[in-house]
Amino acid sequence: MSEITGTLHSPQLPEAGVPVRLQFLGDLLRIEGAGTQDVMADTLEVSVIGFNDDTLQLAWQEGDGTHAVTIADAVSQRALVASAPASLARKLRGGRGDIRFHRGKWSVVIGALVTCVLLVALVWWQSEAITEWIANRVSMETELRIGEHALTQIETETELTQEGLAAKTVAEIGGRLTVGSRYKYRWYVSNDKEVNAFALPGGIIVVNAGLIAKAGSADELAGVLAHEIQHVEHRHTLQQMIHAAGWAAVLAVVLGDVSAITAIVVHQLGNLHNSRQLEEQADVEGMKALARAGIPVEGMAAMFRRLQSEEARVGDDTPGLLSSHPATAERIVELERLSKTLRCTCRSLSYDWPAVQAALPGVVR
Amino acid sequence: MALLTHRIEGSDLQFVEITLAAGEAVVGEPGAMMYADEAVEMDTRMGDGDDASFFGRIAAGFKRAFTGENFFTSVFTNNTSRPLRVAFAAPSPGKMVVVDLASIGGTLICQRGAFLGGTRGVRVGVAFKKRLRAGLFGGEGFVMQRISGSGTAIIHASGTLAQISLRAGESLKVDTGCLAALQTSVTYDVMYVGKLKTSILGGEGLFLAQLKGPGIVWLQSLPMKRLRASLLGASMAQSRGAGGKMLYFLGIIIFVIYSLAQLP
Repeated sequence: MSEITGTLHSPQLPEAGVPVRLQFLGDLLRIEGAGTQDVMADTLEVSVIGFNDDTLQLAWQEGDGTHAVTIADAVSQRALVASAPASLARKLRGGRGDIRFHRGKWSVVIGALVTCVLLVALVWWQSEAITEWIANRVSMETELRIGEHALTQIETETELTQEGLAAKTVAEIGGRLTVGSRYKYRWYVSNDKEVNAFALPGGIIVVNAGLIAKAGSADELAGVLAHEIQHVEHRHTLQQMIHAAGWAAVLAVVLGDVSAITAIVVHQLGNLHNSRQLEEQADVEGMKALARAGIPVEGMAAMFRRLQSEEARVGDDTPGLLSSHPATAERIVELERLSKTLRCTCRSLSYDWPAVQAALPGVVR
Repeated sequence: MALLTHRIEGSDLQFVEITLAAGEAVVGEPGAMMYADEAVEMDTRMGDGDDASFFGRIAAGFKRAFTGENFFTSVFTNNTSRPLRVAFAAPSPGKMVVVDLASIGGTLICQRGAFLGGTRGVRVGVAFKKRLRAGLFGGEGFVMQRISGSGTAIIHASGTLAQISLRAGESLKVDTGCLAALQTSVTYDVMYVGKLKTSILGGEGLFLAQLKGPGIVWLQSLPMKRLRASLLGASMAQSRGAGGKMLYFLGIIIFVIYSLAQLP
């Protein structure tokens, strides 16, 4: 049994208290240090005191006033509880519980705060991995439903067609590039003059008339298609939508406004920006798809180069495809480097390209 | 550890002269030294000025800085065989108290920045007030100073310091901010002043600190905050007077310009 030490405060003693040793003898508490005195255990009143609420006080009335022993250190407190007579031990355990509560509440509060901060940091840091994880758990049917919902949104703004030579050409080239895919692709040509193309979840690919009008050959169109197909295959668009929806959900919780979610998601549909890594992945995989399909891989780089020179010439009027697919010089260099490493028995696509361009919906020249 | 031989000089703007026995060392806040005998060796160390490990000293330094002290400590050592003097001056109008730490159980809780010096080996740490209401409304904040060790600690607080002993269960109402130091066995909490009328018109604010014994507390008559407010108030009043004069002159100038403009 370890020694129980405490401080005795009595009217006759120095005000700061006198160090004493405590010991239970049956129902008596023996206090040694400032002489020896015995106190009946059942007259003791237990309370928790001190600056930190971590000291046990045993107080009793005697003659000239209140006397008290205070026990500050945890070892002595445990020994005190262990050796006290049953009735007092119960009260002491209550006191120890209070001390633990006072100590524990701050640990809990600080722990909870730290956990929250770490969690937010982790989500922030790993947001791409998390959205990818979620995106891979969305079923094909759901994905298609999301894609079709987005398609109806786009149809309210532009006119889409699957008819005509242009759309047929797109579908044919796309078909060659997506042999063996788990998605059932649908190809649309819109009458939008903006030089752009985009992929919606579930295998819906929309090519703007402006892009076909600007492309120099069917190979260049194939390059763009190969790139967009990868966004579908790797569920990039879905990931970006989940990402945007996630932030919108956070925003909605903060602002308490559910309509904010819909507003933001609808807004995001129009201009989803894929991250640099996702674009790179789409480039590389798109190149491989071109090579597999036997289509010259140089088309992709050529298309981007054309757009870049266009941007330099026109000035501030950035083509839409560039604003969502930044065609930096290094990216073009990377594409050209890749096109040299890929082996392919490629033959240029044999379409009557001017005829395809002439069959575009709307007036885009 | 031996107690320091000391002599406090002055009434409200005090300094303490310590006589160092042969081989004895004291620590003081950097800048607190007023004078010392030629032979006293002066050294500046991180943390509490003791022989802890490098990282221990850095940790101690941060603890000190967190409680309103300096990151560094000045150590004054007497390496001669005769007694030497070193004196520390108080940084502001107020009183010093020399506390024998062993006599009060080895630990003293003080308000931030109270520690002035003491026996080498006395440590200054953080005493975090765990009661939310006492931390918010007690007038001393959440962070106070824990001075521990077995030697002498010299603390300083503005105003006059009153040492009050509380018996077990005895309780004292104290104006918030007036608590300078207390023994660890004293319970420190806040209480609502009691009546709406008193809380608005009583001038003591909404809360009072409550100190409950057993143990010793040291109270200060003029907390730094109040001293600062009254000095600031006085200087503001003066500048407001100057501003009034400026306004007066501005009025005259505008009047003159206006009159001149009215001339044909």
